[in-house]
Order: sequence, then C-alpha cells, then structure tokens
Amino acid sequence: MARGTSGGVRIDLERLSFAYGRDGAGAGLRDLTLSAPAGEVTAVLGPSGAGKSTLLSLVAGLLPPDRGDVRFDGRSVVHLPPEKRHLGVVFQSYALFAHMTVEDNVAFGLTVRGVGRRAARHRVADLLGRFEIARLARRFPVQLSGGERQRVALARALAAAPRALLLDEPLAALDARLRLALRAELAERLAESGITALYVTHDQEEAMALGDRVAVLRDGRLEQVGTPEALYRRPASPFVASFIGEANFLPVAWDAALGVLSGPLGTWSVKGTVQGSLEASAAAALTAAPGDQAVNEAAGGAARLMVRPEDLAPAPPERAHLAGTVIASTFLGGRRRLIVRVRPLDADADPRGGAGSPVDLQVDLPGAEAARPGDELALAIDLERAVLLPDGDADPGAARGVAPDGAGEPSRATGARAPTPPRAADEDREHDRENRRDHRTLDDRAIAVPSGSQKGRTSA
Amino acid sequence: MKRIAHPRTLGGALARSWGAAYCWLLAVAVLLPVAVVVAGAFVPAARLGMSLGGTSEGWVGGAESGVSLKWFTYVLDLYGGALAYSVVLAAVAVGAGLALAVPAAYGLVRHPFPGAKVLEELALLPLAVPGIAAAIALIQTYALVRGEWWFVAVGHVLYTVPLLLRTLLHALRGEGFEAERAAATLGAGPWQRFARVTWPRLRRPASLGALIVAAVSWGEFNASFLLATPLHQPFPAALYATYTSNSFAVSSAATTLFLAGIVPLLAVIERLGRRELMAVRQGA
Repeated sequence: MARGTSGGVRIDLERLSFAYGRDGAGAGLRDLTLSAPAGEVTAVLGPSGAGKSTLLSLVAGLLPPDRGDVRFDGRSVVHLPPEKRHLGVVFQSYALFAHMTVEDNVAFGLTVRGVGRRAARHRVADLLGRFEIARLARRFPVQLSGGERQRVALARALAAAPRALLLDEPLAALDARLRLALRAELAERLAESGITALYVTHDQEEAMALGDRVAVLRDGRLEQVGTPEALYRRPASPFVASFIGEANFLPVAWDAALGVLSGPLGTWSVKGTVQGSLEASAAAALTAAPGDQAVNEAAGGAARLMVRPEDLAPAPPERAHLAGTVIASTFLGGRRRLIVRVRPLDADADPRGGAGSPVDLQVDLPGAEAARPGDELALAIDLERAVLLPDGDADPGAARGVAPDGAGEPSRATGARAPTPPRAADEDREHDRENRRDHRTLDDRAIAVPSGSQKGRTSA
Repeated sequence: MKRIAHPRTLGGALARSWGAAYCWLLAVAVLLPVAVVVAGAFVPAARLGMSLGGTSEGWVGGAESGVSLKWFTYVLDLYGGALAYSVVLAAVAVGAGLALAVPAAYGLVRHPFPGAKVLEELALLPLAVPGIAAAIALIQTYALVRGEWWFVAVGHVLYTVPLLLRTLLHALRGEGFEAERAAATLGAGPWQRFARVTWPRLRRPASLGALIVAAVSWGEFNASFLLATPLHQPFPAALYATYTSNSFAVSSAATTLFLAGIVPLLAVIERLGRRELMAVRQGA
C-alpha cells in the first residue's frame, strides 16, 4: 500500500492487562503485547468479547490498565488522560455532537486546543472539501445518512492532526452495500494520510482489506499477528485458521523421522519442500503457544492438517490423496463450492483410534468445472500449502482453555523450539495463486524439489 | 368482525359528531367550575345567578353591580407579600434544585460508585412521601429554624429536587457516554467537556425539569401550609385563607392570580415536553 509521509507514532502495548468488574469477567485483556508500526494500519480482529474495544479504550486513555504499558514512540503515555494523548478516535456510533453542525463537529478538536477561529475555519473547510462533505457543513448530525456521518467522524478525528488514529468498527453500523463502498474509500483515505492506525473489527474481510498487518485477538489474548497473507497461509492455531478464511481440518499424525502423515483418511509420504513447509507450520504453531501440550505433540503426534478449500482439487485416482462423494454443489460466480464427504481409507491408521467416521470437506473449484451431488470425486491435497496444526479448538466462537502466560506475540518469536528451522512465513505469501490451481500431486512435487534440498526422502 | 365506520359514510359522520359532542360536553363539565371562579373575580356573584341564599350579604363587598378589578387590588394589598414570597420560593427551588441535581445526576450516571443505585433510589424517595408527612418530619427534625423564611424554601427544594434529578438522570442515561468520550479524545478537558458537550445536551431536559419544579413549588400546598408561619405565608396558603375568611369574589380574584402564574408554566411544559419526546424519537 502506498503511503504518505506524514506518518505518526509507533504504538507499543506491553503486557497490557485489564479486567472489568470485581470478578474480572467480561471482555478484558490479558497480558497483551502488540506493536503498531508508525504509518501502518494494524487491524485488530477478533470475535465479540475478544477485548478489541477494550484495547482501543486503553490506548486512547479512556480506561486505565490494571497492568502493563502503552508507549507512543517509546514514551509511556499510560498516565496521560485522553485529552493529552493527541489521538483521533472514530467510534462505532460515531459519537457526533448532536447539538453542533458538521462544521462545528469537525472544528471541535481545533477550538478546544486553542487554535484561532480563522485558522480553524480554514482547516475545517479544507477537510470538508477533501472528504466531499462541504455541502453538509451547516447540517446537524441527525440530518445525515450513515455514510455521511462516518465521513464527518473521520474528518473530526483527523482535524487536529493526531499522532495516531483509532477506529472502532467504523463500518459496522452501515448496511452491507454501503459498507463495501466505504471500506474502499476508507482504505484510500488511511493510505493517503499515512497515519498510524489501529483498526478494530470483527469482520475478517475488513481486517484483511484495510490492515497492513492483522492482529487476531481471542479472550483478551493475542493469537497471532502478521500480514493478511501470512495469517491466511500460515495460521498459528486452528482458531486463526478458521477465523481468517475457511479451513478444512484433517485428523493426522505426523512422523517427522519418516516424513509420513497418517490418519483415518489415508497415509501420505511427504518430502522436500513439502516436508519443510509442514514442519515450519508445526513449528510456528508450537511457538505460538509453547506450553500447550496439544501443540507440543504437533511435531510428532496427533495433529490436524489444515487445508484451504482452494487447495483441494480433483485428480486422477492414482495421484489422489482422498476420495469422496459430492453431497452439495453451490455455484458462487467465479468458483464452485463443493461439500465432499470423504470415506476413511484406513481406519486403523487413526492415531486416536477413531471409528473412521466420514469427514465433510469444503472444496473450491474454478468456475468452469462442474460437479453434481452424487458424483464420485478423487481429490489431491496441495500439501505444500497445507498447515500442520495442534489438535486444538478451532471454533472462533468457543472459549479456549486457559493457556499459560508468555504467549506474547507469536509471529515475532523464532522457531527455537521447532524440530527444524521454520521457514519465514513471508516466503510463502509471495506464492502465485495460480500455482495452487495446477492440480499437481505429491509425486510431482517431489520432482520439483530443488536439488539442493537435504530433506529429500524416499516416497512410501 | 365489527366494521369501524368510515368517516366518509353517513355512519362515520354521525359517529364523528357524536364523538365531538361528547368531548365538548366533558370539557365544559371540567372547565365550568374554573370559569365560574375566574368570572367571579370580575363580576359580583349575584350576576352569575348564584344568590347563595342571602349569605352573600355577609361577604365582604356585598352584592354590587358591574365588572371591576377592585377585588384584585384588594387581594394584592392583603396578600401581595405572599405572592412575592411564592415567586421567591419557586426561584429558590429551581436555582438550588439545579445546583444540587446537575452534579448529583452527573456523578450517579458517569462515575457510578458502590451504593450509587441505592443512593439514587433514596434521593427519589420524597416523591412517594405525602407533603404533609415530609413537612412534619422537617419540623420535627429542624424545629430550631422553623421561623426562618428559608425554612419553607428548604422544604420546597427537598420536595422538588427528586423531580429534577429524575429528569436529568433520564436524559444523561439516554445520551450515553460516547459524546463525552469523543470530546476527551479530541483534547477537551473535564470542564470543556461539560460546558461544550454535556451541558448543551442537558439544557433542554434541565429547562423542562426547572419549569416542572417551578410549577410544583407554585402550587404546593400541603407542606407549605404546615411549614409556613404567619409571618411567611406562601400564596397557596393565602389562597386557603381567602376561602376561609373572605368573600367569593376575593377568593376568586386570588384564584385567578394563582392560575395566571401556573397556566403559562404548564403550557410551556407541555410544548417543551412534546419537543423533548420528538427529539428522543429522532435519536437526536
């Protein structure tokens, strides 16, 4: 994203904790560490009750943290009241002053800071012009549409050239169509102002569209932070995998020594870059929650293989990993979404001794391909894009068990505990999407492994 | 199913005229005594067809003819002090009420503390206590200062503050905290926030509450009557005195003066109240 040069401060949250009420229940924050780089949009994403708005209130100074620090450019602001922090905040309800005109609303931040009348009027006129709301200057908020209110709120927040901009679900109050249009507009304005922004949302599409980086929150903790691509391609937990985009989870066991993935749905040998990427994903998940027993087993025990719907493709039976029956087929314009019921091939291979019940997978086909319910389909997994994850809870709405302290910021941690050095997540996000469509099988990939790889193993 | 008569049909027209007649009749029945009393202030009772069985001879002024304002002069001479005292009482009730209720309401809503809810309910309690009981309680508690002119004012303030408080609490809860939070993030300190954001939005409900307080103070009889001493009589107590010791014409004039004070207040309250209701509906 091309950014202006006006910049803003770097915001660092260090081990920030906050609990509501006496019993500490509610959407508080627990030991949250996060950095918002200067001039970037950091989207804070999570289900309701994850503590996103609390985080914003703590940064704005509207709530005092129980513990931890908030720093702007390295300087602690935790003892400053909100009026001394010099931020711009766009509230979910916009919180426009109902008794003031649009002009007076936008001028508010200037006049309370003692900016002269003429200078304030000049600045306001400039902003109203840039936001294309000059004709509304004399109107009152009650006379404005939702989209107009949103623009006024943004103009008001930016008027006094704040050090950073905080946005609390600024599009949530709008209807779906307007939301999409304003999302693009907002992205443009943020990019053009080049200001540091914290953008809170529960909508993953919005977070990915607007955020240079996305921080996923859950139960007041940071699950993962990274670029939208990194989160999509290299989720560190089943929660992130299913919250960002859609995911299939296949029960597997991973034998690192043999390079074998085995599960009730089949046994597959992996090698070369495929093994490398799987081990890297397992390592990333491991570092995300180092104390979590289930995660520790991901490197050599029960785990889940996360496969995106577009990373499953029909293949000739001899090259397929899975076989199943199409039970639903939905035309979605550019693609077709199938639900494929996969039969367990080898029930004995289930590490958890499962009875081998069938698994329903979501499969995306490019638009032209047709499949009808009842069709038999052999599927190949693009294993290089698959991610090996701990056998944890993947439901974004469900509460997670208490995890030990020190989860910190997973994406920044290195793979010190990983069985093999993890590959940088960034490496993967450069992949051309077209690559995922060419339906190569595992064996094709083995051939494609660079000769320099030390991980080549014999195929099972 | 029974059909509702359409206004354009004969049945509809009939229903409408019957309805109108009924409403007018009801209004006349309710307003007639008021009209008689007001008219009685200007013309002698005999002219209104109320001979009053000869007792009118004994009333001050007797049976004279013609329209006159002399009863007003008489009332103002005799009870002008009470009238002025009531104006002062209403002003004190409004002024002291606002000074007490605005910070209290703000504190209760914006900075709730343990026990705030209990305190709020306690503060609204006087609304449920009859004026007489409140007056006796005050007299028993503060017997030493009973003769002071401001003692009745204290009674009025205690009696009317809950009304203001309730109006303001309602308004503050309806407005929500967001605008003040927004003002804070825009650089406004606590006083700037109150003066530029909170108070302008409280002004209308506060005016409405103040008018209600003024009207209640003006018309309050029970507590005033007990709290007042012969030296400091509020106007409703004087009104009572005219009924017990003066002619119909004199008490009519006093009543008319009383109505002249309260009817405009009620009219403004009605208008403001309706505007406030509309503002709430529009979400302003």
